[in-house]
Amino acid sequence: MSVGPIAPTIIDTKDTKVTKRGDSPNKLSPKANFVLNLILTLAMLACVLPLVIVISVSLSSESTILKEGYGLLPKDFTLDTYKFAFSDPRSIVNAYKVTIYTTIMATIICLVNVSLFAYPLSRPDFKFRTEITFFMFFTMLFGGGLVAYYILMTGFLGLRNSLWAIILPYSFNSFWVIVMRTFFRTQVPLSLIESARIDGAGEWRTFTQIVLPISLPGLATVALFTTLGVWNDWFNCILFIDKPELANLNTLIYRALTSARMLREIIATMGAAGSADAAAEIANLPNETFRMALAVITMGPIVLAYPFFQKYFIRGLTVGSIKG
Amino acid sequence: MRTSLKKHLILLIIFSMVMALAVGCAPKAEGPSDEPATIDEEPAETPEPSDDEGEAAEEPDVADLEPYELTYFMLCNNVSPDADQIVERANEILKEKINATLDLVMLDWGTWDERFNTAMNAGEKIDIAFTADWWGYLDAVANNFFLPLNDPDDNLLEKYAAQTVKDLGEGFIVGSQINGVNYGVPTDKEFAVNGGLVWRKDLAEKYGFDMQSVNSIEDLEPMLKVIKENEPNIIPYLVEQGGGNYMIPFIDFFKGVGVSYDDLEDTEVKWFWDREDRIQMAKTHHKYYKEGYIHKEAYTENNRYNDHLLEGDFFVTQQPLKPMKGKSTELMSAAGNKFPLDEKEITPYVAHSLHAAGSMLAIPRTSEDPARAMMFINLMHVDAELANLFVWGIEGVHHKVVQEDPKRVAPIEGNTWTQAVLPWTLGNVFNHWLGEHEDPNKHEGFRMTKEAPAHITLGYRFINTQDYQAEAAAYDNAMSEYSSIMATGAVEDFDGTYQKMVEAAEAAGIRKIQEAVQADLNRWLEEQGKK
Repeated sequence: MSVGPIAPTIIDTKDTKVTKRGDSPNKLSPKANFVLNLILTLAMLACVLPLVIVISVSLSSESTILKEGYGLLPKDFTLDTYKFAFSDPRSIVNAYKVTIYTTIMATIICLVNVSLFAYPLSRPDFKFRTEITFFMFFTMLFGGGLVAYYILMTGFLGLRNSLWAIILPYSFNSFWVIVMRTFFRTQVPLSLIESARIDGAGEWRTFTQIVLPISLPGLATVALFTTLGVWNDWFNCILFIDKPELANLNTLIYRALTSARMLREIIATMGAAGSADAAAEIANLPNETFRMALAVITMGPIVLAYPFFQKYFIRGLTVGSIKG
Repeated sequence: MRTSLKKHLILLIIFSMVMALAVGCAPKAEGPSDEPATIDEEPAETPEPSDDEGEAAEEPDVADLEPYELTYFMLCNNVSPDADQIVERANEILKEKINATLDLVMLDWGTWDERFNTAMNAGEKIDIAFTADWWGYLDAVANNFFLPLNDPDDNLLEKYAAQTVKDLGEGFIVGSQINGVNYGVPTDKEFAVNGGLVWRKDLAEKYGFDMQSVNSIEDLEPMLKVIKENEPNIIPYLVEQGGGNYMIPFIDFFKGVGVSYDDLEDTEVKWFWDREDRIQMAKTHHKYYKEGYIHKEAYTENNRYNDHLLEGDFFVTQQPLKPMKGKSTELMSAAGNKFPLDEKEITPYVAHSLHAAGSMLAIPRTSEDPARAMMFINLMHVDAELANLFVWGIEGVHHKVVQEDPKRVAPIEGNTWTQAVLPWTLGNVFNHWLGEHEDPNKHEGFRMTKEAPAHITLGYRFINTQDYQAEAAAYDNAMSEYSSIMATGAVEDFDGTYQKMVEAAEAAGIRKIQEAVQADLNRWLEEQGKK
């Protein structure tokens, strides 16, 4: 056995490795690959198909839906429902304005609050950070309950029929403070802050020009979730806003959806004999196709928010999992 | 470790003290009022109480009234952006008559519970709120939300709404009481509702059916057979998934436990499913389902009964009716008059509690001026201008007049107001203008029902529902499995399923509820001197 024949074999294996470029050590077996792809495809379909059906229903006529049921494609294409929805566009246009305004305001305020709160807590040289963190954490465990919240908002802060009633509840979030604190602590090296100080930067300059720019993934995560939260909020709007022109999009759709359900519940549990008048009102409520059209209209721009945030999104999400 | 814990505690205490201080300093505007009865004790501010009837005497002197804003929680189908216009007009009337302005809070079906209950629990000022037997009246009274209106010390009804009380008549007033106390002023409308059949008139004529000879659903069989054979796109017999048994004369006091109303003296409390006629109807449904007279999707499709009604793809169905063929007229116009309908009354007109309290306006405890709230309710009943402003909106914007004397109006296409309001919650229906397509005799028909004989239990309600919450929840849960298959007849083995249902309901405690209701009814009858 000489050395000669061995060396080429080694080179050979090396060669084959180079040629099969995709063959990383993490590669899955074809079987596992197939199964995983199948599962993910099914999961994706489970998310996408309802959306397709909603759009399809909104483009069908009510009688077709009644006779033939739902389908992935509209059986008779009609824009009647949308025409009807926009016959008095005031509600929808107003709701869009309100939703966009409150979403932008709340997101900006939340980002400012959360980052300003989280940054000092992430600095080991800040004296009371444990105590303050504890206070904040305390609010995550205990709340005053709905009635206390209601009295605070309407009686104490006087926010009845004010858009601040939608913005304020989203302007701060303890959970995001903890996420951001962890992010600052793990992603922003202390030595970087120290070197900034040595170069003569004050605390504000360090924060705005050194820390924030490298924390964009974390901020984007907070921004995305706040945006989604405010956009989808109807609860605060129902509790605190009575003026029709200040209702947001999701309140419109919530009303359309729950009113029909509520009436049906009454008829089913109380018997229409006791509530004959109420039972008759079902005819005056928005029908299935209209509700679906409203859902499509409501989705609107929020769908566009995802790709915008996406490039930071995944990096930001994993931050919470790193031990802080 | 210990020191840090102590530090936390101290900080926590300081924090809560600061919060307490802040709350204490807040303007005390909307704290929960614990003493509601003492709100209106100053006689100088309230108009002279007068026990005699006669409108002149009860009319409050507007000059003596301080300006006041009435908060009115109005139940609606939807929230209309036109509310401001209506409130502006209403304020003109209200300022002149009772020196008040209106803060109108429109709430739709879906958001009412959250908004109203939270506001009440938080002690927010509300002056007038809708309520009804089927819409949480009992719960609201049990929670002490509403003011008693016929309190001997401060009889608001008598003082400020004598005319309304007179117009309503004793039936409505007694029928909406809870243990002799009125917590709401009923809408003046039809007093009794009965059940019967509604069918497609054109189809009945096409095949020459004599529908007026039908007295039970069994009588329908030959007709359904003809429809099934000749009209493939029509559901011969449409049934409601939730029950839809309007042809059974039954007063449901609590969870399907109650008495018969075809016998005016019936005081024997029975469970719905123990009734011979209910079992018979379910058996017939089962038979019709097997024959294909009831469509196969009836129990799987989610609550599409009303959609079928409006689409008109059925031949016959059970419905609660209204006088003068009011129901079929109503359904036809709701469906855009695409098909003709006709109806026949099967059960008799009988006045009982469920209808008497079917729609009311109550004065919540948080009202700061219950007297003014009662004046407003009275005005809704006696002032046709105000009521019609609410029902039909503004002329030229929400409705157009199609005929004068008697006035008839038609809603303007696409307006959001007339579609949003519920006319049957607004004061006195006899004052409302008739719609273009409504029966000219509608009001006479409604009036006729006020003469309907009263059931012995009129005015009785089972109010101890909170003591039987566990049984009620278990019962609902047990029945959810059976109610729609039994209603639509979609079972394999009828007797077996019925047996299982009875066992499940008994395990849930239906007999306990039945006994409790019977005992409570007996007590009430004795108190009323009816036994």
